[in-house]
Amino acid sequence: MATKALSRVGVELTKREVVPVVSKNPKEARKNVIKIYKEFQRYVPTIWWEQELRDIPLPQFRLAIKNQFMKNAHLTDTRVVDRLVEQAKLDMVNFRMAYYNDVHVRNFLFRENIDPKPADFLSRFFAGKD
Amino acid sequence: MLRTTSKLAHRALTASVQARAFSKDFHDEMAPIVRNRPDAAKKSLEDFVNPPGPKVESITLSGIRDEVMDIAGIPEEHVIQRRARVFRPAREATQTAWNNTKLWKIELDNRERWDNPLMGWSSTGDPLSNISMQLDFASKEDAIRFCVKNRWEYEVEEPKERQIKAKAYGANFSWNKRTRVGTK
Amino acid sequence: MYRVPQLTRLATTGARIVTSSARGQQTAAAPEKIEVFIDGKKVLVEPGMTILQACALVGVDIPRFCYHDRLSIAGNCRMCLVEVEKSIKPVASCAMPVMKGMRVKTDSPLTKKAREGVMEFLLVNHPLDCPICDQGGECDLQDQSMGFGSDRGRHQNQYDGKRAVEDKNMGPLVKTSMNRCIQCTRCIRFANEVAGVPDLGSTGRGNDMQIGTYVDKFFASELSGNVIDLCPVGALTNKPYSFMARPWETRKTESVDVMDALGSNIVISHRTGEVMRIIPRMNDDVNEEWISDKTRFVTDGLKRQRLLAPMIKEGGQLKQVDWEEALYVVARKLRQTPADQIAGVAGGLVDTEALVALKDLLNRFNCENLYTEESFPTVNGGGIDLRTNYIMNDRIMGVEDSDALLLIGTNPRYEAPVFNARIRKSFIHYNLDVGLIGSPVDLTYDYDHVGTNAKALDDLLAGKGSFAEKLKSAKKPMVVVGAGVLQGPQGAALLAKVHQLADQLRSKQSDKSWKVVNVLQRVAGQVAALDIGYKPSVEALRDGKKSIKLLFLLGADEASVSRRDIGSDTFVVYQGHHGDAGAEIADVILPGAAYTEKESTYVNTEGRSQKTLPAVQPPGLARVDWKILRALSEIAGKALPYSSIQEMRQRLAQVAPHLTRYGEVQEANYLKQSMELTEKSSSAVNAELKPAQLELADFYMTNSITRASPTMAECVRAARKHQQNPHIEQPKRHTAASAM
Repeated sequence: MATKALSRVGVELTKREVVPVVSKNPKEARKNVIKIYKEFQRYVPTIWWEQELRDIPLPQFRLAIKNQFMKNAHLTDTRVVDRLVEQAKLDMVNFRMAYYNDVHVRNFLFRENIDPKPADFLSRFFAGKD
Repeated sequence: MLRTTSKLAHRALTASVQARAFSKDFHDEMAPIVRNRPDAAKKSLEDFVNPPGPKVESITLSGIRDEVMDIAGIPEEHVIQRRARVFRPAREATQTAWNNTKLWKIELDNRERWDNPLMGWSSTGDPLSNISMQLDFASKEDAIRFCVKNRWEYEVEEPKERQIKAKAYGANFSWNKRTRVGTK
Repeated sequence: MYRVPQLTRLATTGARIVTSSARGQQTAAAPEKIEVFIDGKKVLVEPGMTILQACALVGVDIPRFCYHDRLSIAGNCRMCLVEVEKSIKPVASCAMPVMKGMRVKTDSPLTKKAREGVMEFLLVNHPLDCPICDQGGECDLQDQSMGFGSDRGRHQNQYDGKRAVEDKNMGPLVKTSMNRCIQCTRCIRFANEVAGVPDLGSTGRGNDMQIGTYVDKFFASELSGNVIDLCPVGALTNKPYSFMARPWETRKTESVDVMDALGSNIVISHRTGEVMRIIPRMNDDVNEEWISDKTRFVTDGLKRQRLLAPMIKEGGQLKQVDWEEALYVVARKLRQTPADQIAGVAGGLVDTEALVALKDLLNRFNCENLYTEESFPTVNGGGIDLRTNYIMNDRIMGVEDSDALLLIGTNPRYEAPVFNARIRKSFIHYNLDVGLIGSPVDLTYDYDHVGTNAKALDDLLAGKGSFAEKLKSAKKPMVVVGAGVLQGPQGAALLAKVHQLADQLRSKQSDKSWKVVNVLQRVAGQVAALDIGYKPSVEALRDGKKSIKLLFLLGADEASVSRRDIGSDTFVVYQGHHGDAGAEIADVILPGAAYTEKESTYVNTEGRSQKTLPAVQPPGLARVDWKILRALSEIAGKALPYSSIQEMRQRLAQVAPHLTRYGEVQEANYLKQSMELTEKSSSAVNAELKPAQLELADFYMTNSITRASPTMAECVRAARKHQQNPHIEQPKRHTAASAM
């Protein structure tokens, strides 16, 4: 935010009126989240067994699922939260219908078969033109 | 909804209602079916079990930033590391038309393009390389709001307006030999 | 007319009206505006305007072929015909001045019929070349026939046929196919008025009218490429670019040019990671709408002689290695060499980010020996510490306000062609008097040749000579000294003399913001280097004055430092994009990026900081220059504190805030102090002021990119052959005496 010419990231400080989707207040949204979280964790042992994830200890897997929920803990917009709750429900359905293979679960949750991208300046410099 | 009637009375009542239901003039005498609202909808069980609260027209969001981008599914490297340029395109020098210069556009930092070995077409690893093609904004503020929503760093380039200097055909024949045009 | 779409209610561009007068800015009183009705809308316009200009103010663009904002009015295409209420005939809006209460209808049936008729006539003799014409997709004729022409014509080709015209040879740059010419005469007017080379004209009349040079002549102008943009059809096209790409498949990247110190705004058209062509962008403060030939046609030089991979010299031969090895070798040398034996030399095409990075890197190793190839006097007037000494203080636009201009030791025609075009414009329209001290060159306008030697400055100081009187009586005199003659041992004394003269002229001024003294730089990176703190000459390195064991050449290709100067055991590291003189003497080569391949900052000769944007990526293993230096610093153990372009820009803003204020010129202060620090001497400077570029053949190859370009080589050959052309003659100039 230094000089006029340097680029900046804008910050929206607004109060907006929006139409609620499912939950009408944060409390209700939170209730829905907790509900789906509990249902998911109850279903986790089945996923763990059927998706050939038995080499990962079950508590680790539970933690991974928990982290996926906690990743979005900062959100305050109830419409976004409702959408994510719906996505969690759909994920459960997908697991039930065996649409995911074990490789998908491993890549998504544990990033197992993905090569890490170079992070620091020197490795990015040697790797390419980015 | 029938509540705390005793079982006996309840059974007696239902028997009498049943008896009358099969009689022809049941509707006229005892309990005429009153239909005040022709658009009455049947209530579902859910509504009785979990009665919905008062209908909320709108809720207030006072967030710092638009959280829609969190569920947009755009990978982080295309949000954080991209820089946007908000500008009005320069006029195509080979033509004299100004119509394409009126709208505001966004351009992101240019990434690598190479020849695809299969067909010789142009490949790129940048999913956002073509956003300046059809994404137009009527005003600078709209474009800035879009950049803010997408969480890109942006820079605004002030457009260069054309200056219209008054010209006259008579200058071709002017007294001043410098401005006089000798050739055609 | 070109309608503004509904969506752009906020975006209707208000084109600015500029009052024209004898001087650019000194208007006595704004003339009272007249009201004119255009399509029912009332608009107040200046009395001298034409209908077409008045409509442009409202947002209605009338179709035209021969009218151009920056050329004189011809009125021969007749496409701009509009209906004016009281007139029986339609009126050529480009030539008709507005009158009070005039009602103009640009969408009436008469106007439409006129346009359709004119278009039909133009298309009668126009060949069906659209599939093979380079202008397809960006052709005014195509667009206007779609927008304003009728759907069918009455021309019967099998009975009447179309006219055929011979193609003219205008040189290796402009491809002509005169079948397509619609005789709008824009090229003639450009060559005559803006370029100052009145070689183009029309012969014959009626159906047999032909545009050309009449004799087989090379279009010998450094601005010749601009007729390609001006020509509304595909008669004059870009020869190196012919058949390469269509405009709708190219992407346009707006950037800035580095072939000269003006920083002309350009648009790089590229496709699939290959630069196709370069066309100008409008910037009224810098280059109006023109670019020089070097700027335009240098694209094939960007593809040849490129350094693609890091190289290390082993056993006398350069061998390709990978980045880790090359940077490790350099970093080791950097750590081992003592501080006063390291030196860095920056060339003319280097961007500001790389300059700052190199300075930071070497400073971290306690080294202060950073030089630029281009010299500048460091004594007198505060040297390079005061910014007013080395930039064009009165700005490029100042030429339009000025009434007497003295050029010292510079040939702006070839050093900064677009600047010369502006001087010519002021000469023609604003009555500028120009004087020249130096070799008598053809500047395309008449000037007072005050002398060839710097002794003439003393005459001017004393007030002797006709030009001295003009300078004295001028309200805004401007003195422009070329950076080329300020090199060498006499440079400091010459600069002092110039300051003396400027001081004398300035003391008569009431407007203290007019600075009079200006320097026209020759290379794009010089002002930025001096702003950052590079020492502006390699004299200190010559003849083994310092024993240098590690030499960094950052794009230094003018062979200012040779092996003889530095010694055979010096380790030379060259970082640049072309394999030129610098790479020849190098022990390690680090391939960098050219100006079309990186996002960088360049400061032009007036101190305006401008940004280039990358159109393509650097080829092969090459990387962006400042990133190479940053990686080197990390391997050497003293990592520089920036690893992204934003942080780099913040560092630039820290060094000098104006470097990141893009597009603006900051006022340079302390001129008074600079004058005070000047050694005023009464002895004359005896130096022949001869600019480096005297004729057109010298213009084309001046830096590493142009030297690698086969198009430029063709141009040099054509320009040399042109000298033997029996048809060239000295054009008749309008002297100051004959103008009234």
